[in-house]
Amino acid sequence: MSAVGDLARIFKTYDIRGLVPSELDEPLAQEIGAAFAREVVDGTSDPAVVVGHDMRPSSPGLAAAFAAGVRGTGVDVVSIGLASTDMLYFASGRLGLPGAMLTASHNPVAYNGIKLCRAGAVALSATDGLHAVRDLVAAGTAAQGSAERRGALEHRDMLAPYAAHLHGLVPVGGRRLSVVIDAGNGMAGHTAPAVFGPLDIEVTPLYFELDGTFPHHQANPLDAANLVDLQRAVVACGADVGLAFDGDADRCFVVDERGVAVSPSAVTALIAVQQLSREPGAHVIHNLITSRAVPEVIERHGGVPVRTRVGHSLIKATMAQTNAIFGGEHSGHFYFRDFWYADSGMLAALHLLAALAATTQPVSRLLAGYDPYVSSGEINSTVADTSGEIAAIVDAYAPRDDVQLDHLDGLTVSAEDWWFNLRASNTEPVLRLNVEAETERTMVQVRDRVLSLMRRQT
Amino acid sequence: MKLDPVLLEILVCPDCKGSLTVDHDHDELICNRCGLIYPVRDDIPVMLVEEARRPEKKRPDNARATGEETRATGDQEGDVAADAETDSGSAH
Repeated sequence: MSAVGDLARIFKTYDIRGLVPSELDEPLAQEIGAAFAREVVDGTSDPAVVVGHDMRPSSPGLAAAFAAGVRGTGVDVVSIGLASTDMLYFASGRLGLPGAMLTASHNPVAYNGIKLCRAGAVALSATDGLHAVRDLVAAGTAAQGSAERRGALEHRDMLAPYAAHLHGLVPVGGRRLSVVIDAGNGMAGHTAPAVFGPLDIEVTPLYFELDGTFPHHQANPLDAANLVDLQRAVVACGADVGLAFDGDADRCFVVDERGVAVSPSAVTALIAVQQLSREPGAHVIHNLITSRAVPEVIERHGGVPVRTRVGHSLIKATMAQTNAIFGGEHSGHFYFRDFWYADSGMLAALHLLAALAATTQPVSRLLAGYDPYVSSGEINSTVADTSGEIAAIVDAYAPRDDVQLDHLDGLTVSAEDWWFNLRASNTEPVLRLNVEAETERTMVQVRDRVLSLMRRQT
Repeated sequence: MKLDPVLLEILVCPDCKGSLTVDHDHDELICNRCGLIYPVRDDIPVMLVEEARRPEKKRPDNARATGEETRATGDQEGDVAADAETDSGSAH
């Protein structure tokens, strides 16, 4: 195997991510390509893997190396070139092929990575294929042995089919909207023109030039600092709404007409309502960090809310088990049954625009009923012993009669008018705290109480 | 050529937002405002300005017959081409 880096460090829970070239270089990408082909390609059918890449300077080279590794095992490659991650999922679903997306998502330019999925856009996770690929790379045997033939390479343009698929799923009619879109120099700069261009909406583009050095701001809309330009532009343009996408354009964030950032929970609730109008009584998935308003809205509209742990593959697996029509996460991931249970920020954006165009209300009023509570946002704290900290918090709250504790993911403590969740990072000695309450005062009290308990332990 | 009627209902020219007419004979969608022609491949409309075709110019003998009108059309085509080149890179 390649001598670079420690494989355990770059194989994360849901993807591969590392510094280029010290942790991830082209020889290693080639070995990963070979290992991936060995792990997922079903030899009984026409073997092929679809490969896409983002706009980072290192991505074309890494994608070519990955493809070479796949082809070395006798497996064909369908290269779709520049793509967003949800466009790669579309290609995997539409073509019925395993897929690989060369991207480090929202990470800075020094990083790159690979997201992998089986045929039908079923993402690999640590315990479902990703560790197996890692172990094959570590063994150094994936590229050994001569295939009967080298796999062929086919280039295929999937941008127009991707856009047409989304348009077919969510027809945007009604009033003509004015929309500011911040692509953050990421892959939405490639996909948004194809998706929004042929719709009767007025688009003001921000940072559509593909540039993996991210010259304007990091392509991570979860960080409020990266939304400032969009917030200003929406107000300056008098636009109806603003949309921000992360680097690989699989996550979407919304800014209302006043320039105020919208909670992804409110967007989840809005899309849930739309989906439930199509299929009354359907299951809708939400992770346990989304607002309490999400399950309340789902129930109010006759749906069945299903609460899950945080995480990509958990949401998708639960959706498949329950035949759920839709799923949302607080992190801006939105999953759709009619998109192979995969997440697509672009599809979420179309749902929002369709709902907005169908009403004369501003987006702030459209969403007001879906965001009644006050949230702390996610607060990360570095601690010496994550499980010890959580145990101490359990001891503090367990004796109380007015709260309920559950351990679905970390610790959730719920009272009548507030709740908080504390969960450990998978990779770092970090605890993530989320608090929500009916009033700002209560949220601050609960937040500060939990933080003080944690600090007393460190 | 089979096109989803829902798609036809919502799609407009990505360059000028004009409405579209279906040309079944040539598997194309034609903008009623600026004249750009979009291909339909495998029943999928390719609504990308950079892949659109500009309308062909009229033949010279037609031009002699209707000089003023054709010159006006020619100017319009030039504008379309310039717009398409300007907009395809960043305006969407």
